[in-house]
Amino acid sequence: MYNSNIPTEAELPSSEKLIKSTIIAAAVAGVLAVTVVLPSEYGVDPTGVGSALGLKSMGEIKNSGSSAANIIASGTVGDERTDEFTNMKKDVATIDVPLGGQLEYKFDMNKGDRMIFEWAVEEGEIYYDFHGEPEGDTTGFYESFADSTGRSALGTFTAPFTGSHGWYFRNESDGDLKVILSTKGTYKITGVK
Amino acid sequence: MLFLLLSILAIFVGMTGDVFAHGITEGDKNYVQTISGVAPIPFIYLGAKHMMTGYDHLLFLFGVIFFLYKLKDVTIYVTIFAVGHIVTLLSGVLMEISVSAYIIDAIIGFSVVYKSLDNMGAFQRWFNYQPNTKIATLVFGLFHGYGLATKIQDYELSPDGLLPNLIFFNIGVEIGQILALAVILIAISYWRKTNSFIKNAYTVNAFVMMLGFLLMWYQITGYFVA
Repeated sequence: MYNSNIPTEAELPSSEKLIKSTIIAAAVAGVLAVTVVLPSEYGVDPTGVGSALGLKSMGEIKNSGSSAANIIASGTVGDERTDEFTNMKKDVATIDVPLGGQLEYKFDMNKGDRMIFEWAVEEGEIYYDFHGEPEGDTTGFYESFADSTGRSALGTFTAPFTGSHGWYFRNESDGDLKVILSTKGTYKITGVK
Repeated sequence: MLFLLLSILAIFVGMTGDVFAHGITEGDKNYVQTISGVAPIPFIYLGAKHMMTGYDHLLFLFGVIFFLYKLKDVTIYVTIFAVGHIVTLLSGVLMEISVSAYIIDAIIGFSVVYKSLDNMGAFQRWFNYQPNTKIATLVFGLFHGYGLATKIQDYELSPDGLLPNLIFFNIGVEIGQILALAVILIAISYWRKTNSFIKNAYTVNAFVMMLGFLLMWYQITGYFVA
């Protein structure tokens, strides 16, 4: 009992042992912090382990503080609206659209495949075009399903033909934007183009 | 021994949601903002809830009572801790002192590291000197209270009935502390009866110190990220 009785010299652990324990404790805590806690809490993931464990997006959503993130975190997508999607895995993507930037986020789908989607940006305006290109087409043809400016959209989508389907996003704000896109359905993610 | 480690771990990881959200739950906040005037029971409840789910306070208290065998000693140290955090909880809120919660929480993490090292006999070995454990408990009690003060300021309390409500919150904090402590004390008393207590006391304190370091990394990173 180190608090009230003064222990004899022999009862105390050696200085080397104490230093070693302290260093080990700090190092183990450091490794846990960097690989698990920081990705989960702040979306900070210097080692990439957090992404591999699927923890990074939790941290990003927690810290975005946006209504979009709240909608997605509460998992409304496909949960009540359409029974067919109930037991499907939900994918959540965080898409960075830098100031003045534009990009596409796409999915490969076969004709008749269905998806339920929901996306939003925290603040600011974005121009989007939801469209699809038929597989194997080289003419540059695309079919646009919806285009507008806005902060969010949600709905279901049935692919009218086999090909690449998804969103074109263009940053219309005076700062960087982060789109959080949540999807469920039958598709293969091809991601940012 | 294993049971104890698991219970500590369970306390640590079990409080995800509101605790890890750093601060208070949205629901509690919405509720508190509807209150104007003195509301004893809600504030006692919130105080107790905060303490029972506050793993950082619990880890520190675990360190404080680790080598206290007599109920009298437990009472003395817990009272010193309570006096410390009453002072800063009340003065912090009433004087609207606001420092980054991350810094305060990092210091609370450090208090866990300090107490574990103290229990391991590190200060006697390193400096051939035992720092006064009561003063340390009081000083860290002041920081823990300050942590509560920064969090309760997030509630954006109505000025109407502020002081009585704070006192009720504080009463709740003490009740929550006693309830949580009772659970820890029962578990540790059983463990002390076995040979594994002395054999593993050092390791358990090293493990608690690791959790203290983990809290520190967590909060320090939060300070720079947020």
